[in-house]
Amino acid sequence: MVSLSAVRIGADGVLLAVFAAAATISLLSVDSPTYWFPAFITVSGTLAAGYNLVADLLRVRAGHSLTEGEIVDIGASVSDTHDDTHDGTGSEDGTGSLAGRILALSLWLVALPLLGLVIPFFYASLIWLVALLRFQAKQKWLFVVASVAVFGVVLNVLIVLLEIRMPPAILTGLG
Amino acid sequence: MVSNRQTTAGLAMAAAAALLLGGCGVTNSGSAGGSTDGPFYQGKEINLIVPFDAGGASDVYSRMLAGHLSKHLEGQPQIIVENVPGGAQKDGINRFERTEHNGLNLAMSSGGLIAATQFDKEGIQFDLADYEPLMAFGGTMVIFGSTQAGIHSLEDLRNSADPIFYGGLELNASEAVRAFALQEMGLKDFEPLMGYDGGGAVTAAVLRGELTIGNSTSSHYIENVKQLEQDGSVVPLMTQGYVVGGEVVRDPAFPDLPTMPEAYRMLTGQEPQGIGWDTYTALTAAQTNLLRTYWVHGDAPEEARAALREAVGELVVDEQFIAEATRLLHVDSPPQIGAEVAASTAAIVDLDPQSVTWLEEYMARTSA
Amino acid sequence: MLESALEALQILVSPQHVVWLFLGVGIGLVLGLIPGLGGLTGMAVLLPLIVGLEPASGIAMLIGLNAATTIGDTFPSVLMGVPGTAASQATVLDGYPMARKGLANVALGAAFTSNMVGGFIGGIVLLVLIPFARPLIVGMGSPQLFMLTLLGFSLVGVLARGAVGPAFMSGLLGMLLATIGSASMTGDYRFVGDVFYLYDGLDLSILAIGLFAIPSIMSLLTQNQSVAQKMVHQRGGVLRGARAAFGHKRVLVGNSLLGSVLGIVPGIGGSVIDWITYGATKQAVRSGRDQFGKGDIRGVMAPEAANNAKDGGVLVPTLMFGIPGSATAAILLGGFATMGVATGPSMLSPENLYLVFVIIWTLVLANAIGAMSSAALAGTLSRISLLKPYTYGPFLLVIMVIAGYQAGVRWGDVVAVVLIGLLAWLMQGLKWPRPPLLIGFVLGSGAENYLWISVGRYGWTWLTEPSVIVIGVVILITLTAGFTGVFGRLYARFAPVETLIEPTKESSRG
Repeated sequence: MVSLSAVRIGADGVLLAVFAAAATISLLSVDSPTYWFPAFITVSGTLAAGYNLVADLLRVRAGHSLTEGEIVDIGASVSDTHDDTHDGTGSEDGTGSLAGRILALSLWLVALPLLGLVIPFFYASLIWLVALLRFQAKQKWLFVVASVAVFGVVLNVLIVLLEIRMPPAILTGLG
Repeated sequence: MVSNRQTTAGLAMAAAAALLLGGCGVTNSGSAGGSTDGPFYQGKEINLIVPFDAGGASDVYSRMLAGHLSKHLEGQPQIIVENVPGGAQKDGINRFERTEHNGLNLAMSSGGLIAATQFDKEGIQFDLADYEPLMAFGGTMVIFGSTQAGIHSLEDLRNSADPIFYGGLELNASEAVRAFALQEMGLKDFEPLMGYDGGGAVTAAVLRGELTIGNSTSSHYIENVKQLEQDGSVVPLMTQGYVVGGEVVRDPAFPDLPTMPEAYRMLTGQEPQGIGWDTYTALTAAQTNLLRTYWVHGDAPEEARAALREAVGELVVDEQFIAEATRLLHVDSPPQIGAEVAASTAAIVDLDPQSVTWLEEYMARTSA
Repeated sequence: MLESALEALQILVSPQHVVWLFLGVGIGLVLGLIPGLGGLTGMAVLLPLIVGLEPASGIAMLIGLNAATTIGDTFPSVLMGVPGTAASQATVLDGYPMARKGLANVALGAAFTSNMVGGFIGGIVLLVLIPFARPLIVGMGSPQLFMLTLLGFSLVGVLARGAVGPAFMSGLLGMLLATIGSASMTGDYRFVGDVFYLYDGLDLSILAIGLFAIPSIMSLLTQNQSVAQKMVHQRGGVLRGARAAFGHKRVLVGNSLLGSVLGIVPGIGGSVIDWITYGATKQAVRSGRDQFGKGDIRGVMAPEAANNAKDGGVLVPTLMFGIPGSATAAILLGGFATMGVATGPSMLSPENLYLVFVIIWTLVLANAIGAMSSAALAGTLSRISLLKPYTYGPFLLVIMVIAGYQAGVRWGDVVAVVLIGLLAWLMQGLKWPRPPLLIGFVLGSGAENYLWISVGRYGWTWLTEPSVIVIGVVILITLTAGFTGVFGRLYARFAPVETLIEPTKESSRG
């Protein structure tokens, strides 16, 4: 996974730039005490980010992967596999490579709010669910319709009982 | 067979869903329909925007008020409270500006927002001059001292050998005029400290003597701080007062406490005069007279505004409402309607530009 | 005293009050179960209901709700690696690996047992600490609070497990995010550009959903494999977990006590207490420290016990001084006022004492009811870990986006949740530790404000106060313990596994 290492180095650089920019802003306004604390944070952050960038570069030069170490992380991750799975990346529906699926799902996630911009969010979410389950997950129509219908009812009950607010479709002014 | 049953179940669910969706509140728009004859609000629904979190004091108060206001409005429309917190109330009032100006949308704001239209304009997309204030409920601020820091009376403030630390949540315009007033009293090494995380944190700091004096809204004071008077931990010193006819007067809930201008007179023997004290009075009108102000769009149908004015007139003398309001706030806060509330809002909307500049400079000096 | 205690219990278990307790617990469990929604939402909804209610009923409902959310939130944390509320993030650390091993029901059993014991101990701590509330409140000035936030931050080193550099950078990034928006000390806006959404600063719940919940679900969907392949214990797993929990009495009691004491400290809150207790437990255990993070049952118990115990601690300053220890406590305080219950020293007067006991009994009963009903459900719900993620994941994504919107009811919230979710997913892929970011964010604003006030009030003399020095020494010990633990592990398996630990130092040395 050399490419991931490259991405990480790139991200190190981006973060260094973010910290450095914030540090510049803070140091330029440091005559106002409001910026003393941010200045301290951002200067430390710039140092930490610089250190990380150099450390990662050295490790890559030494031929190590940057993303194989152990860190404290929580929740599921894309690299989780069961020990006795037939192969690491394949799944039963087999749609594309790991990277392809990551990209596809990211786009689906972005699509949800985009749809919500034009259709009231409650309906947008139901349409999005049907589309995702049918076209990305390739579920049976029966499952798709039944589960989304049940979800719609439950969500509606929650919305009414817990006074949950839904984002309005601001582009069309609906909802 | 099994799959057949599942299909049926699925269809039944879908039908149930369709039924429920038809009737329930999955979107935010209230029903604007209604009959054309009869009272304006007959069969209609009013949306009241509250720019605070659900569950807070302003929200609870507004919900209580909504119930009573509905009863007094001809046609008894339902009034739905919508919480739009965030952006220091600007989000909520910006949203109010974007709603239809049809009399079916009302908004609530606190004095902080009214002051922000002069001192913190960033992000404001409305002009308060376009709105009609329907009614306002006041609530003053109580300044209390720490016995731990050796304050037992007003005079102790002046005679204290130690620096006086005054604490609050955030340095905004209304906090700035209080800091100004205290500073004017000739307190030795007066130092305002802002950034406390809520009224409770201020109380705790006063308890331990970290702060010499702190402030609290009067209802918070009565609910949560007054008990500490009994065991001698805190001592009430003065209030910000109300503004009536351009004069700062005592809070009826604290008839024995002097207002800040009175305290100034008592401690320095001088009359509160000059641009600083004028600004104090203007901002006090915004902060305390207009603690909770309810607005309607100025260009809403005259019929709607007339109905609202009438209902508000009845509401403020409704014994049941007053009793419930007093129980919620623990303070008999004098309501203002009509010309009175208009005068209070005008005091800040038409604030002398000189005062604006003066206060901005004062805040810049204080925070530097 | 005993009389009031019994009287309070009698009042509480009478039918008209106990109904409200069950209602509160029921709603709390549901809210905890739904990732992203928590006690705040429920309190705000229930608050209008309590107008005109008898104090005992209202207290039973509100406190029952609060206690039950931190029980229900364990389900998603363990079963899907998605924190149910911000207070159960650390539970995921070991709970989710247990679920992957097919031990979901065992983890849940242990968690609910810890919840219950934690709740009991929290109630007792509330009772015991009330007389000491005053010295506690008066003793903790801004300098001490500042040092405590630093102590919490120093746990980043303990949690880093090797990647100290990235961990601290992540924590600093969290602190930087916390400075976005209006600075309360001066009223200036910082780092907002022209984006009005940022004027308010970022919301903790949005950050928590985006940082942990969304990446976890996205990963599950990418994998499209069930969390576990089979249940190790088809039957009796929950009981097994409960028994295992009682086997670690010290973890159980220690974390309950730690959680309730931390609850008293303002500005720390549930979202950090779980991490602190997790880190402390990892440092304190004698054996098998390596297993933490890989499915150690003690890692589930520690945050869960502390989670529920903190509710007792939070109430100490709330009841005694009307000083709310958390956002939910602030709403609770409003609820008390609505019901005409005056908080403050008068709560200890004979005619009001029964209310204190009503609160304590509610804590005890709500935790018992909540934990037991959750345990009853655990066997069935733990089968979620055998389902394909597509059967629940997409629905949860929708719920999380909606939950994010509740934070400020602004479109920017939706955008922020999705954006932070994708960035956090990338962070996870690049092996950047995410927990320090959240800890830095939560403690950042407290640290800044307390430091500002400390310097403004005391100059630099506060640094010489004995209590400040004591906490400073504890911070140093924590840091060295974190680092030496790291080095110890490094030397232990230097040869077989190449880790990320201080790479430059190591390479330059040898």
